[in-house]
Amino acid sequence: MVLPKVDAVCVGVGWTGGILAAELTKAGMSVVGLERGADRGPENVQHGHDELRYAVDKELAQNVETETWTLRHHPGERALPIRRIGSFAPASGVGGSGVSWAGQTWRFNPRDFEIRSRTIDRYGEQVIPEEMSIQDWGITYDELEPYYDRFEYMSGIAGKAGNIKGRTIPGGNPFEGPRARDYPVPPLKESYAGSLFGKAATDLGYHVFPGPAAALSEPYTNPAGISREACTYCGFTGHFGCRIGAKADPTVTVIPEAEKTGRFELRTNATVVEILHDGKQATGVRYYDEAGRLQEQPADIVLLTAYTFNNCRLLLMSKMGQPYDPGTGQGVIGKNYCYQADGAGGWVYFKDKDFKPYMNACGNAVAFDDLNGDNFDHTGLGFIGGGLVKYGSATTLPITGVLTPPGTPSWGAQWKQAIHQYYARSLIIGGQGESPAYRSHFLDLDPTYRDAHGLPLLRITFDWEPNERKLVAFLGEKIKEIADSMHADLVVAGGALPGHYDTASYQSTHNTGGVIMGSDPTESAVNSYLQMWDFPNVFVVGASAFPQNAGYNPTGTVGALAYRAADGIVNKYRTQPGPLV
Amino acid sequence: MATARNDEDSSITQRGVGRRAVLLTGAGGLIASGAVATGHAPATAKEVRSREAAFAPRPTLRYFTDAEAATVTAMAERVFPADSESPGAHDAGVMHYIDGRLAGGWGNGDRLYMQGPFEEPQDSGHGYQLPLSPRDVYRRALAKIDAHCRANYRGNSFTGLPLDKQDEVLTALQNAQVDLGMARGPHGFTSAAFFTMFLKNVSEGLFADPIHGANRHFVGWRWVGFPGDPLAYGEPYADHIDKWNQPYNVEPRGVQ
Repeated sequence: MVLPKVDAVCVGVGWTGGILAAELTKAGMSVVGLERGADRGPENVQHGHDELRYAVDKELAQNVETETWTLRHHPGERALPIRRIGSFAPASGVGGSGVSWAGQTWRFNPRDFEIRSRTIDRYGEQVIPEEMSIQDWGITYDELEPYYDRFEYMSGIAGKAGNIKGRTIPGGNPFEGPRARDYPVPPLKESYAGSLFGKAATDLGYHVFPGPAAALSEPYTNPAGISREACTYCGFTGHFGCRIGAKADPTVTVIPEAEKTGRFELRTNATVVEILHDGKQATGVRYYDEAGRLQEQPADIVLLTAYTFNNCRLLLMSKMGQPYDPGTGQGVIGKNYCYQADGAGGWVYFKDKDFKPYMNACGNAVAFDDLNGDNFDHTGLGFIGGGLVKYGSATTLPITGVLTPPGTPSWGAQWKQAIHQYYARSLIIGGQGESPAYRSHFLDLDPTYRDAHGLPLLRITFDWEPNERKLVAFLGEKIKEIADSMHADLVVAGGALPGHYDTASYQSTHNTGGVIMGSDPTESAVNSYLQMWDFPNVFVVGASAFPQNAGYNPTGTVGALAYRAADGIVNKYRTQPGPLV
Repeated sequence: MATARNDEDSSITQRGVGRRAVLLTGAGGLIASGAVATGHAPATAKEVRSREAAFAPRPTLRYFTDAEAATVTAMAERVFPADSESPGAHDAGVMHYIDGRLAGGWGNGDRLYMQGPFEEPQDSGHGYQLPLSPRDVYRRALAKIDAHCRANYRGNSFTGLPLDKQDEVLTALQNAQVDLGMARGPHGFTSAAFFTMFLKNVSEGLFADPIHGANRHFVGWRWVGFPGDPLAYGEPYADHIDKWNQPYNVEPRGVQ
């Protein structure tokens, strides 16, 4: 059935769909949001302090029973489906992964947006391995700064500025790009474990600061007039929803903002399967409604605001843009899939501390940026890139979070004694490495496996490469130095990535690329407004636009890019439809 | 069918309580059955507690056979053994938790992508690839473990072995040395993969909220010092997170 035409349709209603819906409807446009999952909000997680339900069974995540992804490590291999949710856990349902995220809200470093040109400027082109396909973003940090600011003030991010308009602020991150003003909310309270890590790192000369967090340290009213309560440090962070709305999430911020206009219509249990187009313009989308009927929603503008994977998959299924071919390097859809090189973390065990690890707030971290990006000289190191080093992001609930020193048997009386000794007396120092792009890492449609609608699954081709292995080993050594200086009972170094990328154990939901941005239509799928080069009325918004992933959590940058896309649509495209660049 | 279901449902009505009350009174005189049976006078606190005691789930098996249950009980106890000072997996009800887990959605393969073709991985990193529900995996694995024990330990089942031999069997499982009949190569579902699944289920049985039938008497949470749901204490952590290195001692409480 063909429904009445609207100004814009959002495919997916999480952070990006919510931000675009709010901005477009406030400007007077009519927007329909199609969300394949159910409606939900804080009322759904009132009895949500249940680790088995959320952290083990991952109730808020996409149900892979009906739709998953396939994975192979190299082109030419047969991909196998990810049968149980594992390495990453994108959500489904209103608010998307913005409901279950852990709330670390970073800005990328200015260098990250110009990684290729700045690497060549500083070290020469020969340091970039031939297979590495890193690209500049087609936008600079300074151009994106106002949009970071908007995301942070809408969300109420708790943090401490390190650089306001070029002036270094003690106690903040001295490596960050200049920001117009401080964070809207002061930092969260520091935990004991965080303080020990911070002191040890400071003594070694690192520039330690509180990680920016999406949990409110105090009650906050955002510029849209939405008030939220302060965080209670309940400890149920990533994979959980916030029952009091203290964690910034689309269902308590931008979605109500959009709904208040009266111009936003949210349709849940609505699964988009095709973008309709005439080869030059999109005309709308086709979706299964809640009763399983195929519906056609015409729209002047189509906003692809699903997770990284489905943004890419829908373009491939709808035959929009040129699919990437790893053999020739031609084509753009599916190009430069990246992830996050974790694995540098170090474990520190004490005899006589009590860290109360179950007291924790979303995003609450003690961090330093000295070893991230190109904040240190890479001459002679044999790799490019870096990573954030921090305490505070690890799961601290007992099923998923009991730590035992390697060498301890994983069962038996010794294991029993070790978890008794160390649950409250151990900490992990995390190292979150950047993930550069490679010619052979990409997304396409799987030739064999299908979803519940009979449509092809997205196929991921990805593995760890020598550059990240060296980077993670380097970070692991530096983290061990910090751990060694903490006067602990026992220190265990990380620093090794597994033999192959492992889809089964949770690492991060930091999947990026596939519909990347840039300044050249032959090398990128979207411009700096996330507008498709080939279809000017289609905007593909999300981490799908990252040409490669930096050593930070992605959501802050995803939010900033969404505000930038909204600005382009509301203030430019609406009056003069056509290419914005 | 309808009648039987109605009759079953009536166990949670006052009539049912009355019927149970008679049984329990006979067994130990726990219920003040008069007040409960008439339903007129408000129940005293003591009566309410007694009524709850009468309804406290008495564990029975939902999936395992008696022999499987005995094996899993013994295996779990070797993972988290009781000693003279502290309780073990049996006290925490770990076997009953796993039995319930397998009887329920997880055991039936909920949230598992189960479309074929099913291929054994040729390299590491692909996770679970069997065309079997976890429930079926356990049944097959436990039968093979039993056969392994009988073949190698003079016809004894796992439960009939001395503790050091039980540990030997678990070590063999962990080292992928027991053929469970579900793997053809090193990246398939070896006994090591099964043992990892089992250890995860044991951890859940020790540390999941008691609403899942796990962590009975908060055995697991008390052991590591996890307080449970802070809502039970009025969400006070903001006042405690910055009291560095000071313990927070409360009796664990489950999800509110």
